[in-house]
Amino acid sequence: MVRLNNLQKEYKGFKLNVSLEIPEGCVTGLIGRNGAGKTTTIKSILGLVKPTAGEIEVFGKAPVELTAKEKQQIGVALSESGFCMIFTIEDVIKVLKASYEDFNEDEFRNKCTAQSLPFDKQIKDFSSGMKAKLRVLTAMSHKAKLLILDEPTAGLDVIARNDILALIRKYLEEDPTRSIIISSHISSDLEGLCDDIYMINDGKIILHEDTDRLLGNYGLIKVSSEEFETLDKKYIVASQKDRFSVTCLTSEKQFYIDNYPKTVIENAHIDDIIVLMLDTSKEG
Amino acid sequence: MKGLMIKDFRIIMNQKRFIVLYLFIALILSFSMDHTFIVSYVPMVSTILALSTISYDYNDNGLSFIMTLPNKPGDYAVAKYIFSMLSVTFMWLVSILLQIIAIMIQKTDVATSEVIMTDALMLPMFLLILAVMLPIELKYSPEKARVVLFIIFGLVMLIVLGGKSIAESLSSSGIVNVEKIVAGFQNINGSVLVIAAYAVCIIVLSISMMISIRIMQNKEF
Repeated sequence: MVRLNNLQKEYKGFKLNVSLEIPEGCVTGLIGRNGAGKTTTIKSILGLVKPTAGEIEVFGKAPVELTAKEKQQIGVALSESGFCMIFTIEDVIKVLKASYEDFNEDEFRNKCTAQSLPFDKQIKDFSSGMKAKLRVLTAMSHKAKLLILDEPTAGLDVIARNDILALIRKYLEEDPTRSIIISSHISSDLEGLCDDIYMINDGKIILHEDTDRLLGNYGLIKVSSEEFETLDKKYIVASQKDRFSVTCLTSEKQFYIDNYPKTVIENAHIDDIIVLMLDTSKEG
Repeated sequence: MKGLMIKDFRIIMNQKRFIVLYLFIALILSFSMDHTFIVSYVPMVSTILALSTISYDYNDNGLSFIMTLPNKPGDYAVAKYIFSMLSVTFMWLVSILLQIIAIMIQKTDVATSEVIMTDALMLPMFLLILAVMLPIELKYSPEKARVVLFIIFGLVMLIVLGGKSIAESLSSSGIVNVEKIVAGFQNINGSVLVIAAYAVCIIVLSISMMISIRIMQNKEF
């Protein structure tokens, strides 16, 4: 559905160079620190920024070549951009109705009511959580085949975050062929949602892995500096040294459980993987 | 594109207090002042209101999201021109209606042909303002556009004053008879002037819209 091949974009002091693919029916996570290049990648897919080099394909076409009708198949929620702040939900409904053939007004109203969003209040008077919910509901309001969600949960409390993740899960259940690309710097949001995860740092993809493999096969090995010297580093992806010990990230924890039975090996969470990967990429 | 125009219409309708005040002043002016003023005041405020929709689009990075709505990149510019031209033309017609009512109530004697010509020239004047302002506001953000506008006004003043002094020196040296040229302009038939004004307006608006479409196609959001 989406393919980025060696996409490059240069700004002063920043260079993006990414390749990624989002197949049909797949939920892809884009994770990285603030300023890593997540939003630039997403804006490139949407044709909002123009690449310096490389190829972007959305539904097999360059984003600028998409017709208005094809763009109706894309639902978008951007992190800090949405409808005019003086609008009420009633205004939003009128614009969506005029923009999308498949906009379902009754369903949208029901979902807004279920999320306790007021219809007569201006968006500027909404809480951060309400604004975020409205952005996500807007993206889901017209049966889009492809959802592009940039930091939909950023700055929200855990309850609002869970509400939004539940909305996304329900949207996927309605039609399993739908694809989603979701960016976040909160790993736990992506762990339970994404089929695969791209880790981005300083404008480069430093890791791409299926979420199941990431959580099932990756592990943390804690060894002393001496033990580290003798450790087989065939499946060591990253390592972090401190004064007395070394923490290693492995992509095959079973190999080390079998061959180093006395070594402490823990399951790795995405946060651990990020910290070690980013630390290694910084050193590299 | 329909969605973009509805968005602009909703932005205007959300400025209720301003609109109420605007219409209230329009009504007072209609019946208390010179009836010709109303035909310049009402479309002028309408021009400002139409241009204000760009500021609302820019506020809170809203433009990035607006550009993800199902439209081609140039559609935003086209929708802005259609919406602005329609709203200014509509309010110009409303102002003429108010003027007719004012004339009837005040029972003033008017030179009908003169009033018609003045009214007819008002619309192309405001449409020309739109033709100049829209590409500037789309190219630069509305805040930067104000600075650009000051620079343009400064340059226009320089050209006018410079032209005037050149004309005076040419006239005094007897090379060109400026008075004769001015008199020639004054003798132009009113209807010819109106037709010429509309023709110029259509040409300038078309060029302006093409420039604006190109600006939006090349812009990053």
